[in-house]
Parts: sequence; structure tokens; C-alpha cells
Amino acid sequence: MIRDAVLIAKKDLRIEFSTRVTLAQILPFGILNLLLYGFALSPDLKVVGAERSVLEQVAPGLFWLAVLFAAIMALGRSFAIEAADGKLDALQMAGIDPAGVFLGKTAAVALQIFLLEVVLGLAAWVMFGPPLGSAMLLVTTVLITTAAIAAAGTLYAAVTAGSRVRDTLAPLLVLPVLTPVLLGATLATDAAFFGPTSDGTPWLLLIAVFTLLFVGVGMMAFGSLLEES
Amino acid sequence: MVHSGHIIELSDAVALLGDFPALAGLDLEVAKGEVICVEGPNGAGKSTLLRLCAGLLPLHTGSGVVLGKDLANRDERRELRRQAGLLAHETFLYDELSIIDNITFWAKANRSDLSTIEPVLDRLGLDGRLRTVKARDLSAGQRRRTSLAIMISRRPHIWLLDEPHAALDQAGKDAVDSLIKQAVGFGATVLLASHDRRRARAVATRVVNVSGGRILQTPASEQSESSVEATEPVAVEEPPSLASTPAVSALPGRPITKGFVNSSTTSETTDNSATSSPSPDAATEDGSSPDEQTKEPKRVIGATNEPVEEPTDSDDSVDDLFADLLAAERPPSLLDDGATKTTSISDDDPAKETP
Repeated sequence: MIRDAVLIAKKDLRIEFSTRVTLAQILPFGILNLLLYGFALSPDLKVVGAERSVLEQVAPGLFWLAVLFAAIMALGRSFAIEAADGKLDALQMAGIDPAGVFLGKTAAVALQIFLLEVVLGLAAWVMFGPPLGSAMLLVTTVLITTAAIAAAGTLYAAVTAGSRVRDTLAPLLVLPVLTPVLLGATLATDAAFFGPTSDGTPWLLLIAVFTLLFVGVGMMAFGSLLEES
Repeated sequence: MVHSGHIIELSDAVALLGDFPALAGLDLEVAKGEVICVEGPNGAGKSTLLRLCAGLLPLHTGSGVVLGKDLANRDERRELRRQAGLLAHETFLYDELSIIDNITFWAKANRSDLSTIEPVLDRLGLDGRLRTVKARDLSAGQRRRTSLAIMISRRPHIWLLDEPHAALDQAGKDAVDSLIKQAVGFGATVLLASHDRRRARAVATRVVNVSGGRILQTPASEQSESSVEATEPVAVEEPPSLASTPAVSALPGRPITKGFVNSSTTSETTDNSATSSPSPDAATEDGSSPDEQTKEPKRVIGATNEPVEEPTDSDDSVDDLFADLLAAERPPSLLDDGATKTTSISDDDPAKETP
């Protein structure tokens, strides 16, 4: 299974390296999102009596929204390359472990999402400028949330892979599912920046449980999903 | 499920595409070593039949066993998928990867021996700089060859070929025909759907006509090319035999042409070449029962004078084929259009259709 996962992940990353879609299209889309949020919520906008500007207060949520939208694009592409030219059939006919396919695609997407988060995080920090409190909590939040988005997103991308309307159907299905992750990541990130750190721990646990759940379900159900797609 | 040793055994098989019964009660039995040409109009169910036999579609009703695997059982279908080779309309290629990267990926995914990649590419004329070209930049014929190379590297025991001649040039078509013959000689079983009737029938041992998701009784005028031409021999262009090439004929070990005979020189064989399910009452000249004939198909079209040998029962046979494929240098037929020869065909293959 691990061997198959590595095979699939390397193939997906090789295709990404060849096409540079994440770098050339998805990343600019994410940055554009952040810029638009900045325009919509002026840095000068403050609630009366508040110490921080509105933009600074909502920066963690805006960052994770931008990540989520960009990740949806990466996830869609991850399965678009499999759905084309019968490759889902070929994957079924190969002696490859479906759980390995799931883990491999999840890993490849997670790596792309992580790179997006690094660049978008830097961009958000430059644009919105909140002071960082706990780097450890922030890094942990980013890593766990990345795994959660990748696992749930890969599972739902597989659900819709065989559909002619997968490009529009997948976001409709996966965004509601990822709502707890968005909420938890936003609050944990807020705690990492503005403290106290202990406020972020329960949210991290929530995201970790979510991740384990979807990784487990994905590994068990992926074979059937491929057959149905 | 009980089965009688056939490689494919479908009875009243119904397979759905969505809610539509693409196969609507199809009956088909195929013995080891047969080459079945599946004919029929567009939408008749040919591709669905191949996908069903590949284990990619579940059996809705009826019964079906392929390579001993029950098509109604999900786990057995998964096992079947790993043993079958499907050349579909789709090429299974990643456009962003080169030929060599594509075939390497699929070879690893299929647990194939990586050392076989280069010889297979050479064999199919995908050598030199071509192998580093990305799939999106390939012609349709080159994509088809790459797809065929991937399928061969799986060493399947059953070859399911959907329009195998489509998009190929003359040399490519010849190569496909040669590979089919060579594979069958080593015990593989082939089901091919093709609109190139003359070429498909030339390699087939039996023709079945599908319409409306069922096997039809084919009228005499529509039976296999060999039977149509039986009364009046017609010169047709026969694809060059692999065996006729120096590289292959020099191979050590078993002759790769076994299972094929030159119909023009072995009239006895062609006389007995009842290749479709015969009538239960039909008497045969050699006294064998119709069932025996169905299980032991005779090759009616070939290009060599090798004696008839039945496909071996050994499971190693297909692997042996692959070893021989690798041992062989690329035959001229893959590159040269001028290597073809003309053979007089005088078959009288009854080629009755399965009722």
C-alpha cells in the first residue's frame, strides 16, 4: 500500500511539476483572493473601541478561506487528470491498492496545499500584518489542517470523479464538509497570533479527529468509489 | 459458480450502463485460445461486452464467468481485472508524461518487470527520441501503440481489444495482427471488436454478431470471411507473420506460430473449422462432438506451414510468450509497409454463430 501511495504521489507531483498549474494558476488565484479581501475590508476599518482593525481581526479566517478555495482547485485538478482518457478504469485494472491510490493522491495534494499555505501565509502576513504569538501552534495548525483538507477533499473528489458535472459538484459537496475544519483552523490560528495558545488546542484536536476519520474512511471506501466512478 | 473450463462463459448476461441494458441477455462461450471477432453496429454492446469481460462492469442479472472469476462477485471481479488486458477506445495515457514515463508508471502499477519496458517499446516502434515525447504531442496511432505496449506488459491471459486497428497505419495494424496470433499461440484468448471486418476476420477463429445487446444468429452471407470465400478463393493481403521474420524464426524454444496453420495447405483443418457454437445435431467429419469442437477451435487463417498445436493449458504460457516477445528483435513488419505478402485464402469455415 505504501509503495502504491508513493508511486501515485510521485506521478501526480511529476505531472504538476511538468504543468506548473499550482504555481502558475492556483497560487495567483489564492493571492488574488487575499487582495480582494483586503480591498473589501479596508485596513483603516475599525470597530469603535476595538484595539485591532477589522481586517486584522478576521485575517486568520480570510487566510483559511483563500487556502480553501485554492485547495478546491487543486483537488479538482488532481482527479481531472485521472478521469480523462479512461485512466480510472486503468487504475482499477492495475494491481494497485485502492487505499494506496487514496493515500498517494492525498499526499500529493497535501504537499501542493502546504506550499500554497506557505506563500499565502506570507502574503497575508505582509498584507494584514498581525503579530505572531506562537509559531509552534501556527505550524501545527497548518500541518493538521492541510491533512484534513487533502483527505476529505480527495475522498469527495473521488465521489464526483465519474460525474460530468464534477467541477461544480465537488465544491458543493466538500465545502460544507470542511466547515468544521475552517472553523477550527481559524480559531486555532487566531490563538496562535493573538493568544492565549491554550485556546487553540481543542480546535486542533477537532481537526485531528476529522483528519483521522476521513483518512480511515478514504482508505476503506476508495476501491468502491473507483468502481462506481 | 460452476463453469466448464471456458475462458468466457456468459449466460443470459445483462449489464447496465446507467439504467440502460447495454447487454440484454447475452450468451457467449469462449474456449481457451479462441480469437473471437465481435461485430455489430454502433451501440450494439460490443464495448460493453469487452468491459464486462474485463471486470469493469457488474453483472446485473444472468451468470458470467471469465477466467474462472464470477462476474457477479465484486472481489472476484477485482481479481479478474488484474488478469485481463483491455485495449479500449481510451488510451489510459497521462498527457503530461512522456511515453517512457507513462509506460514505466503503468508497469510499476501493474507489478510488471521493468526490464521489459525497453524491448516492448522497441517492438512497437516507439523507440529513439519518440519515447521522451509527451503523450499530448503524439499522434493517435502512436498513442494507440503506447497503449498496446502497456497492455502487453501486463501479460494478460485474455486480450480484450476494442477497435485494435483504429488509428493505426498499415504497419501498426500488421503488428497488432501478428501479436494476436503470437499471443494465441501461447494460450492467450482474444476477444476483439473491430469495424475493420476483413482484417479482424482474418485473425479470428470465430465471428459473433452482437445487436441490441445480444448475440445474433449470423446469416450465411454474413459469416466469417473465410467461410464466405470458401467456394471461391480470393487473394487477400495477409499481414506478415512474425514467424516469418528472421528475428523471430531464430528464436530458441517453442515455435511462436503454434496454433496457426496455413489454410491453403491444410484443407483438412479448414474443413473442420467449426468455430462457432454448432448445432447440437450437427455431425462433424472427424466424429468429434459439437462441444468438443467448441472447446478446441481450429485456426483457419495463418501464414505459416507450422503444424497445428492446441494452446497449452499451462498458466506459464502467456509469460512464455512475453519472454519470446522480448527475445525477438523488432520485426520488419513494424516499420516496413513493403513487407507484406499475398496469400490465397480458401477457407470454408462454417463460422456459425452462437444462437
